[in-house]
Amino acid sequence: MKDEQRSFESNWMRSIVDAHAADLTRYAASILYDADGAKDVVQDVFLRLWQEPRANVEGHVLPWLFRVCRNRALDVRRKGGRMKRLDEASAARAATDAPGPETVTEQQDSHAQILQMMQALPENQQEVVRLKFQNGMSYKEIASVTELTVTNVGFLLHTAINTLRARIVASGE
Amino acid sequence: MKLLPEDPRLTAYALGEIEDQQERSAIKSAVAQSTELQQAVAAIRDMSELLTKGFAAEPIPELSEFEKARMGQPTATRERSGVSRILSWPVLSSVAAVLIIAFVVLPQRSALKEDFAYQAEPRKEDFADQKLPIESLISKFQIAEENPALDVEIAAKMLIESSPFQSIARPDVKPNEFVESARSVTALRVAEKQMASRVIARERVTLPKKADRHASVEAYVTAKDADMDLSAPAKLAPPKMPKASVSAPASAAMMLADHGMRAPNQARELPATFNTEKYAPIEESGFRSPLVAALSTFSIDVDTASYANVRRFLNQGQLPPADALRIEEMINYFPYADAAPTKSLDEGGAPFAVHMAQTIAPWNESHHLLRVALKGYEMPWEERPSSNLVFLLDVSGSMSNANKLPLVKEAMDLLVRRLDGRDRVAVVVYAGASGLALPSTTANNYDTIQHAMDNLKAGGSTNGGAGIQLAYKVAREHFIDGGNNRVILCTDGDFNIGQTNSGDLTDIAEAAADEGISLTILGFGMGNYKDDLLEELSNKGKGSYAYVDSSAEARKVFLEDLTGNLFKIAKDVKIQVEFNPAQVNAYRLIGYENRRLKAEDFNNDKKKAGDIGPGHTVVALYEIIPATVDSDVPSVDALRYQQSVESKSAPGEVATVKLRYKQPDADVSQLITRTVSSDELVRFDATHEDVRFSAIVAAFGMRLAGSEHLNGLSYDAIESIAASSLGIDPGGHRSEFVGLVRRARELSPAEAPLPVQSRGTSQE
Repeated sequence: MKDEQRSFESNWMRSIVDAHAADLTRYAASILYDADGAKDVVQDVFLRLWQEPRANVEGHVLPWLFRVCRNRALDVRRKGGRMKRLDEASAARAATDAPGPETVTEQQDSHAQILQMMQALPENQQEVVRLKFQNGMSYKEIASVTELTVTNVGFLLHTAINTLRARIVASGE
Repeated sequence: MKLLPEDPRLTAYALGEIEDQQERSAIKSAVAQSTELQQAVAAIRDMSELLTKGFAAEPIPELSEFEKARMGQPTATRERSGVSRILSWPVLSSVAAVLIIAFVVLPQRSALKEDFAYQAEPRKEDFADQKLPIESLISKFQIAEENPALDVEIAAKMLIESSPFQSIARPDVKPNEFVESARSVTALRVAEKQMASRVIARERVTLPKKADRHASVEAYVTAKDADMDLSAPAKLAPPKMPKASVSAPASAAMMLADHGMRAPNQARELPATFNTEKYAPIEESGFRSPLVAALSTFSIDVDTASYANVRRFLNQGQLPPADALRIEEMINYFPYADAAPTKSLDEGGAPFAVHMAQTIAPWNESHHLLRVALKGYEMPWEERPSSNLVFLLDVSGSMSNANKLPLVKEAMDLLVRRLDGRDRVAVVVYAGASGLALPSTTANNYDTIQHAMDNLKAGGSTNGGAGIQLAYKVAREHFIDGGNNRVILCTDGDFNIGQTNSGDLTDIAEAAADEGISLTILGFGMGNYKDDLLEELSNKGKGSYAYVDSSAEARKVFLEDLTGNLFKIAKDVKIQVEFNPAQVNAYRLIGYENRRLKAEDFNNDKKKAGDIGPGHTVVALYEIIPATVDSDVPSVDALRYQQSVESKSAPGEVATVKLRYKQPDADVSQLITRTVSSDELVRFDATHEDVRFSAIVAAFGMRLAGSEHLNGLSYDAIESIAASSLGIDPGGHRSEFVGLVRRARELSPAEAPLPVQSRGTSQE
């Protein structure tokens, strides 16, 4: 009986891993800039999920996973003295550093361009943009992951989209 | 309702995020009445679509089945051992560094003893009260190491609090002691020679900044040393070492670590920087004229360690030292799309394909780049030779760590699942006594193998000598003609050879290799303890030797590179390029500094060189100054008497690329020859993204090394070229690289442009 329970849990776990592990790894890597480190973080996240009573997470597993993943990744980054926060100053610099001539002329691909522009945004804006458009989360879910208010999430997204629009218009001229 | 385009609610509305129905219809009607708002909503939706597509194009990390299986487990199988985890905790890092310093002093004891003796005197009493300062710390470390689950912070605190040194830091300690202790670090260098030359992962440990402006003592310690040697020498240390003489330098240095908190604030004269993380110096090769040296000869290198090391430095917030940059290893870290041979080996296909491309150097418009890429035949799994594998497992007590035996079992399990009835597996264990845990069994008897694996437990001491004999005996009894007969030794390096001396052991391995049984050695969580023995064993046993110091490396060895590591398709692969002085003013090979061969070694089949496995890619880049561009590279007059019969005027030929390799079981090499023609040059922005990316990785390495050849190319330019050369990027490695370039720029003191060389640009 206990074994059955165990294997049931195991299957549930496996389905969650299959569904979300890659997304979580990509998300953690966007914080850490370290693919292997990201995998470690995600492994830790699933360990936490094992320890969490299932009733606590049922129904909102996705934001739960992302929140734990985010906190863990930030923790690792802080402890390891890893990536500096991309603060306003360096964001401004990144924004003015237009990509080199090779890129602009050869930029066959607007997708890469939009990602590059995105990386010039302040980190908190990048984060909500990523959660919204890469992971398809609602404002509410993003708020739960980032521990911000829904209004704040709305404001950050709004600002980010307006900035990006303005830059695209500017680069098209 | 009055709504402005700047209102965040408009964005929420456009994205369908207004939950309140009343609010939504209010906004809807406001939008309906204003074309400005309608345009804004449309623009937001366009942007939303663009972002969604942009993000969808971002590569998603590929997780192997193995990784997913690990992630779904209820218990931790830790990446790193307890000690190296502790090393990531700043203050403890210093403590660990100090302990290592103290240990490594051991072999030098007699030399250093006198230095410390007088200092140790007045403090003996202090330690007499405390009892076993060092040993108690060691035992704590061992606790930490053996309980990977133990919370790192708790372990760290426990160590600090139990440290006897906490109470003895006193203002009356002579500043000299710091100098002395620091000097003892130099003893590391001597000790290092006893360690093996191969270093994979290094952990750089820096004492807290607070310590003192002058006291910037940096100790670099290899992670593996920390991992294992903390416990290994610890076992040896107490009987050999008078406590006081260990304690003095240790405590003095320990106080350095603690210094910010309680040591007196007097200025201390300390040697500026210690660097015990040792790299063989790399001398970047300069340009050479083909008239002086027409031939460039080197051995291939499939290693990738340098890139991982550089990544570690940058992620830790430090620029890597120039000598840590082996550019060829950085380039070869990345997968490239170069086509592999399609004809299978059985049908007489070549073991690898050779690809050549020429373009303009991104850092100097008047220079060309020649890219030579080898791509190993991607052997389909079904085409592999039948395998007769004998696992020789070290199940001694030290293997019980989560990153050792459990990892071995997991990895073996994955391997066995991929084998079938054609293959045989046996397991020999050794500890106090050696034994056959699983008689040779065909691999389709999965349950039997599984059962044997489940019953393996770590315990007892090690006697590898008897084990290795038994393993070879089993391999011999089930020998498969023309198959892959292999003993796979998994150990943490605590390899007690028992009755057998090491000469006998290597003789056994060598004799077995002659019979066709190879030896693969996998070191788990190991340091350098018996590294030389293992390496000699694997050399004599015609096998490979890999460190598995983390589960990431295990993934790589057992899954991603499984066929590459288990089979080899060609050995002793050498490259020789002859440049045509009529086309080439000067050339230089980028990277491969320590892989150079003498020109005459190319045709000498006794001279060993690198092996290539299925699917491996090896890339070499030459920077070329064409004959049309002047250079100040020293040259000589054309030789008068050297016209050989074969020399001829070859208009348009830039170079001839020759490769030599041997089939895995052959003693005689085969030759491949290709010529490179000047009309094959392609503009940089028009060339394949793989060519661009490998060139820009080289540029990044040169930038980090401060190479003058780079002609002042900035990190920003490197980043943008890299970002435009991502290609499909399976695994996201290239995107990660772009992040690293940015990181390097942030760490560089105000992007000071390198002096622009006059050579490249002035001749135009």
